[in-house]
Amino acid sequence: MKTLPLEYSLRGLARGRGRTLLALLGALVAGALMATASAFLTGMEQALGSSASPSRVIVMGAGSEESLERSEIGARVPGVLSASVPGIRRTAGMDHVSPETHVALPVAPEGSSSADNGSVRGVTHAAVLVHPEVRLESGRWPERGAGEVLAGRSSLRRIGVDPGQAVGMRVVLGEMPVTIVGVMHSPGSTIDGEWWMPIEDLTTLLRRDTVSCVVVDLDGSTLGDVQAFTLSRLDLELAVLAERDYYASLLAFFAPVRVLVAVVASLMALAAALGGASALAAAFSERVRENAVLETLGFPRHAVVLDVLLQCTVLAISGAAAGGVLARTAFGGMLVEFSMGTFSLQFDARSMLLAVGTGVAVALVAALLSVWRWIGLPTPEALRTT
Amino acid sequence: MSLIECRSLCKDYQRGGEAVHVLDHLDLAIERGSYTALMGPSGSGKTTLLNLLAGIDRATSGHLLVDGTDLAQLDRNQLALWRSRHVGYVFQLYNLVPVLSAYENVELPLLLHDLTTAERHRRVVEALESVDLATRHGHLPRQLSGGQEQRVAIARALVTQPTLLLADEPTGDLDRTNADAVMDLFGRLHRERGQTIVMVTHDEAIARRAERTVRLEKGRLANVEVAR
Repeated sequence: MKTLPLEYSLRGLARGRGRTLLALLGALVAGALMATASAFLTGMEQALGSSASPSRVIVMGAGSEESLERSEIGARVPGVLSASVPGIRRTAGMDHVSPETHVALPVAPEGSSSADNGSVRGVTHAAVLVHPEVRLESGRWPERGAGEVLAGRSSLRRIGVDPGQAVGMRVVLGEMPVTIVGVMHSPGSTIDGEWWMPIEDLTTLLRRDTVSCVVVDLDGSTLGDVQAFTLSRLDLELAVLAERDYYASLLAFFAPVRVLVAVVASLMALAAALGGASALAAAFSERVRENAVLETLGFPRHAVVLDVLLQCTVLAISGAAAGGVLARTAFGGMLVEFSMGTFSLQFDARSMLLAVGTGVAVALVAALLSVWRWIGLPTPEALRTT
Repeated sequence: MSLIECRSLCKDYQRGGEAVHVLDHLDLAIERGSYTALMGPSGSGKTTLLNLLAGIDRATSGHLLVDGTDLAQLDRNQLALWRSRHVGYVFQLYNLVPVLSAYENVELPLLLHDLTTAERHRRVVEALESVDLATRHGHLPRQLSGGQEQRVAIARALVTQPTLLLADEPTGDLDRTNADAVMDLFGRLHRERGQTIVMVTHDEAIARRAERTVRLEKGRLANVEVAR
C-alpha cells in the first residue's frame, strides 16, 4: 500500500501549533491521570498483598469482625496457644508466636502542634520471627519500659522526618513522648508505615490488659489445627484466620475505594482525552480540502486516513507517555495514608502501559473525529470546502 | 479512437428533493494531443464534466471512456490508482500542501509510482525546470507568489507524465501577467510535448489560447469552436 512518508506526516503536526499543544496537553493530563490511578491501585494491592504470608495465621478475638483494632484477647493466649498447637515454626528455641496489639494513635514530632494518625503496633521480639520481611535499617530494637519506639520509613516520611536523621528524635504517640531508637524498612508492605514499640509499653499506655491478636507462623500444622485449638478452648473466645485471607478481605473491604479512584480518574482522564482529541480533530477538520487534493492526486482514501491516524497517534502517545513519566517523576513513591497504614504509589510497567493505552485511545477518537467530515463528503464537494 | 469519449453522459444531483440535471445526455469526443477549453455559464456543467473526466465523481448514466478505460467499472481505489497514472489536475486555488516545499509538493504524486529515488529526483527537477522554478525548489508555498504557486501546481500535475492534463480555471486567481505566463506554459506543453489539455475557464481571452472551445449550456453541448 502506498502511503505518505512519515516525515511529511510529522511535519503536518507543526501547523496549528496552538491546537497541537492543546491536544498534547490533553493527552498528557489523561496519561498522567491513568498512570497515577494505576500506581495508586498497584500500591494498595502490593501493600496489602505483600503483608501476608501463606504460612501465617492470625488468632484474634471472636466477634471482632476481623478487625485487629477492635479485637481483644487475653494476654495469656499466646502461651496457651504455643503449648497446645503442634507444628509451630521454631527458631533457636523460640516459637514463631507473636502477640501483638494494634491501635491507631496521633503521632507528632515532639514540639509539633500538628499530629498525624499513625498505626502503632505493640510487639515482642517474636515479631521479627513472624514478619521476616522487616529489616532494621538503622539503630536498634526498642527496650521495654524505656519509652522507645521503632519507626517504619514511610511512617517517618509521613510526619516529615528524614529516616536517615530519625534515630534519637523524640515523638509523641498519643500523649506519650518516646524516643526513636531504630528505623525499620519493609518495602511495599503496610508495616513500613507503622510504629513498633514493646507490647508491654503500649498496653500500659492504653491502660488495658489484653492484646489484639497473636500471629503464628506454622510449620507442619495447618489452619485447621489452630481452628481445632480455638474450638477446644471456647472459654478463650478466639477466632482464627489465615493471614492471606485477612489481607484479601481487607483488599475486598477497600474495593469501593479502589473502584471510586479508578472511576474518578477515568472520568477526569476521559474529559482531558476528549479535550485533546477534539483539539486534534479541529486541527484536522481544516484539512478536508487537503485530504481531497491528496485523493485527487491518486492517494487512496485509506492512505490519507492512515496519515491522519499516524499523526494523531504520534502526538497522543507522546503526550500520554510524557504524562506517565511526569506523573512517575512527580508522584512516584508518594505516600498515601489509609486506615491500615500507608502505601506508596507504585508506578510500574502496567501504569506506563495504561498511559500509552490512553494515548492510543485519544489517537483513535481524534482520528475518527478528524476524518468523519471528510469521509462523508464526495471529493468534488470536499475540494470546494474552505 | 478519441482519448475521451462521452456518450449520453448524465449527472444528476438531488437538491431539496428535486433532481437537477447538471449534465444532460452529453456527447463529446476529445482527441489525444488536443487542447480544449470548456466554457459556459455557471451551472452549465463544466466543472462537473472535468471531475467526471478526472474520476473524482461518477456519472449517473451514460458512458465515459478515457484512454479506453470505462471509468464506471472502477471502484474508488482503482480510480485513485488510475488517476495517479493518467491524470494531472490543476486547481484554481493551487492547493499545494502548505508544510511541504515546492520540491516536495511536486514529488508527492511520484510517491505513488515505483521509481528509484534518483529517477524521482530527475523527474521533479525536470518538472520544476519546465515551469522555470528550479531555483525555488526549497521554498514553502507561503514564500511563493500566486503565479509561482500555480506553476508549482502545474509541475505537480505534469511530473507523472499524465495522459491527460485537467485544469479547473487555472488562471482564475491570477493577475493578467501571471495568467499569461501560465497560458504560455500550457501552450508550450501542448506544442512541444503533445500534452492533451482540457481546461475550464470563464475567460474568453484565455479560452482563445486553446485549439478548440467547447461550450456547454444546461448540461448539453451548445457548440464547438475551433481556433484558426
